[in-house]
Amino acid sequence: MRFFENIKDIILCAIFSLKAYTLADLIRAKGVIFSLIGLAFWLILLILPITLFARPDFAPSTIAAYIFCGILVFNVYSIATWDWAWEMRLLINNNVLEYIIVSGRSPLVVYMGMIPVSLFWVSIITVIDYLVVSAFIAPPRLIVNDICILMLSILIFLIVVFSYALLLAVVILISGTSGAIIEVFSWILPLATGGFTPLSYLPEPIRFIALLTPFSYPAEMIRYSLGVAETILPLHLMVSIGLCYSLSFFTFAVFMFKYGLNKVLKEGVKSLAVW
Amino acid sequence: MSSRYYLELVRAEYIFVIAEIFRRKSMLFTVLIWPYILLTFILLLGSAMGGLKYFQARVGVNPVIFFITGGFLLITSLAFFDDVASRFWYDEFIGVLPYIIMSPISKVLLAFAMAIPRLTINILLGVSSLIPVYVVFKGVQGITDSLIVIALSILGALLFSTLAMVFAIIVLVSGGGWRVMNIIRPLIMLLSGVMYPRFILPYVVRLISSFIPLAHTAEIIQVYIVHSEITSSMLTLLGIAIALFIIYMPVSIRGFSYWELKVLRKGVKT
Repeated sequence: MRFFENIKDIILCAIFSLKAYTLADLIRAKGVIFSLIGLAFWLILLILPITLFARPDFAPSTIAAYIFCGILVFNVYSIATWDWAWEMRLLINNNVLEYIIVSGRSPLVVYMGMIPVSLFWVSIITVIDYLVVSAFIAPPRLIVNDICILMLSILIFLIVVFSYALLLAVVILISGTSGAIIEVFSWILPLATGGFTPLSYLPEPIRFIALLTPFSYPAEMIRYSLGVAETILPLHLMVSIGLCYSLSFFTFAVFMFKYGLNKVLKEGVKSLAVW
Repeated sequence: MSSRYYLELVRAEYIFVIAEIFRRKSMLFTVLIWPYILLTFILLLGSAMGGLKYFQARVGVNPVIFFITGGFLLITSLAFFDDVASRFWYDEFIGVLPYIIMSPISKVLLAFAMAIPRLTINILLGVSSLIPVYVVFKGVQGITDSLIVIALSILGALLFSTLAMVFAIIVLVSGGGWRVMNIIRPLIMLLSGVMYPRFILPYVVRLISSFIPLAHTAEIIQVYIVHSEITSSMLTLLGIAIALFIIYMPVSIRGFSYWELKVLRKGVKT
């Protein structure tokens, strides 16, 4: 009974957090309009130079499919870094974290409240990504091979990036540094884990590193299910490892998040400047 | 008198920035590593699309040299816009803008002093990013080439400063903060062609970009890294950039007066 009350309490808190975030960030600050325009510009800026690398015999729709999938995966990483992990910095900077801790709630409820907003974002960004790629290169040639694998890979990917966001939040909490961590990780990690390109295209050492991380498995599964590339390992192995690894990673991240909060309770919150 | 006054402001900005760097060494590390991260990002994605040789065949230059220069240019060119737009906005956020507005210093001179320390740091960035890569691909000639590109980039940032101020004023007057910055930053980069040769842009976009001094200086640098020599067409482009710098000067000064007046009339949100 107590367990269900706790769950209900967490869901209520998450709903309030969702309302606050939607009202403050998306509506009052016109975040939806501004962010979407900015995003489209950044996408064009990154896509244009990449087209200059294309093989002349490659069909534009194939190139477009590669770029579309790379940006899609990158955007999912981005919500982990810029939406969820960055939120920890905002909570500290705006002096909100202490109040959440004093209220007896875990800051996790704020994260849970942000999940629907972030998913909404990723959906819109995916559409914009598709439109920009179609306008500047060609409509991406996407064939859904296996809808079940696609849904499963998206779920695994979300679990992995949520866990990753929790770990980044702990690092921000403990180190008192945010900008350097987010900036460096948001670029290096997708590169090193095969987020942008199929693992078979990566050099052997990077491929090995990528397979050691939980990120590469769902990314490969997404590319396979959209007909962009074959998986580097047999599919059933990718699914099994991906699922087990993501759940273990999530457990570890929650444990570390609690450890970070306990450390903050003992040592106090470190102040963060712009960096 | 005003030049002495300006130098005092620059000195104060140096003290501020140096203290910030010593306090936040991670910031310096991030800035130094950033062109390499961007280079790796584009090369990996580009390799998956086809290969580096296709880029070289189309553009006439090694993509490693092209994109390490592009990453460096991207950071250097935005110095004035980033510093001016984000600093006054941050000052408002932390509640010190009323004191700055009340102070007798000229806000225009302050704005033009703000980015000078960052431009100096960018020389260090050029040394850490351009020189090693240029030397690997061009040998001893790479040292001369990279020094010329660093000098041209700093000159490009200075010539872009007046228009960058106009963009910064748009951010400040709009009240949109980082959201508006996040639109203007990629737009500037997009129009000026720092990450790709401008010939791949549609004609209308190229026409609009010709009104941006940075587009001309970026083109000078791109032509230089292909031919490794100063040509007469580069001097023509430099002349256009200087002319645009002068044309935008009164607009940026008037813009600052307008913003200051707006802040005085409406007050500052704290």
